[in-house]
Amino acid sequence: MNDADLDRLLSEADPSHREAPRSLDPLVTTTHDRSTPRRITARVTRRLLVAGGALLLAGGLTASITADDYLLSVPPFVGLLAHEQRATEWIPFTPAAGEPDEGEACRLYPEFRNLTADQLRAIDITIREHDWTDISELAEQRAATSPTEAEAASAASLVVYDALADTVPGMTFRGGGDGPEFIGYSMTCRSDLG
Amino acid sequence: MTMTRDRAASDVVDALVRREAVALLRYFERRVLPIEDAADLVSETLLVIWRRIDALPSDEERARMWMFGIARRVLATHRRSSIRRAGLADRLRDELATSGHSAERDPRVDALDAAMALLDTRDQEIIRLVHWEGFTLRATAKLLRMREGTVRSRYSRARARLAASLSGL
Repeated sequence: MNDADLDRLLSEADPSHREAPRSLDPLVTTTHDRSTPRRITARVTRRLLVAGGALLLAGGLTASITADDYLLSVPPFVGLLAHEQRATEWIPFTPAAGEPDEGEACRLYPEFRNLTADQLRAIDITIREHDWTDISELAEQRAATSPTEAEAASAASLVVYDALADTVPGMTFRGGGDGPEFIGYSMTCRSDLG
Repeated sequence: MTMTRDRAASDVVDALVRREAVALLRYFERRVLPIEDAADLVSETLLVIWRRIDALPSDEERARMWMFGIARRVLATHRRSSIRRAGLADRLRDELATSGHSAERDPRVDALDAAMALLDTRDQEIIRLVHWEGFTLRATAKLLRMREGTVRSRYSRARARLAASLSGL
């Protein structure tokens, strides 16, 4: 069978050539009426993922600790221990997986240990200038290819670390010790952050 | 003036969702048995879409991908467990049950179905998304969270296998 014949057969096999069921349109209206548009409720979902937490990722992997209704209106919203720092700049993040979070706009604030003020400023500049468009997809891909569940749960952290590592030479990924260290992030998700 | 613009935007979204509802229904019809389950799945998907309508991308292609991304997750949930039946889709279930099996099947389409079944499940999905849902290979790669190059090579290989399996037709 040649390419043209195969294309024709695939097209003929497409069930969508059939007429749309009459009861589909009323169903669209019903579901619309039953759902509560977020723009009307303007409910603010506040969610916290503590340092080291991960995002809702493919396969339902999650190591996050969520705390809805936690007061997160103004970062910093989580206490930091001595020698820990949080970036002032944030990374835009839209979860690509994990109902019901898909599509929700989030801000992700990387956190560190043992950074100097200059290093933290450099990190902020990198965060501001880096193109984070694909971070969600990259995190999901990394989770999907991770050999262990623990690594998969840290996929988003690893993607962020990879993007920031060159900014602070010698910075480890949760390596401990006295040197500069990436330890995770805090994240807040709200319906109006887009 | 703003209200007029908001209304216009709302109408655009409404038209888009209504148009894609058919494609979403077909998406599920091709992937679930019994076919009536597609009614519950599209109902669940529409509920999620309406709830998340503010997140709908303004670009039409991205909006379509966003909707099918939700459909994929609804389907995955369905495969892991049973989607809760809310009763919203009962009429559609009945309609699918009575119309879905009545059409006479072309034996060549049956042969294609059999050839598709021999493919790797991921390759089957690539063929369906490209030929039946109308996505480009690039969009298919994004939907499946795969590298574009990988999707291209798998698509090419899958087509070659289909053609070989169907060479007797």
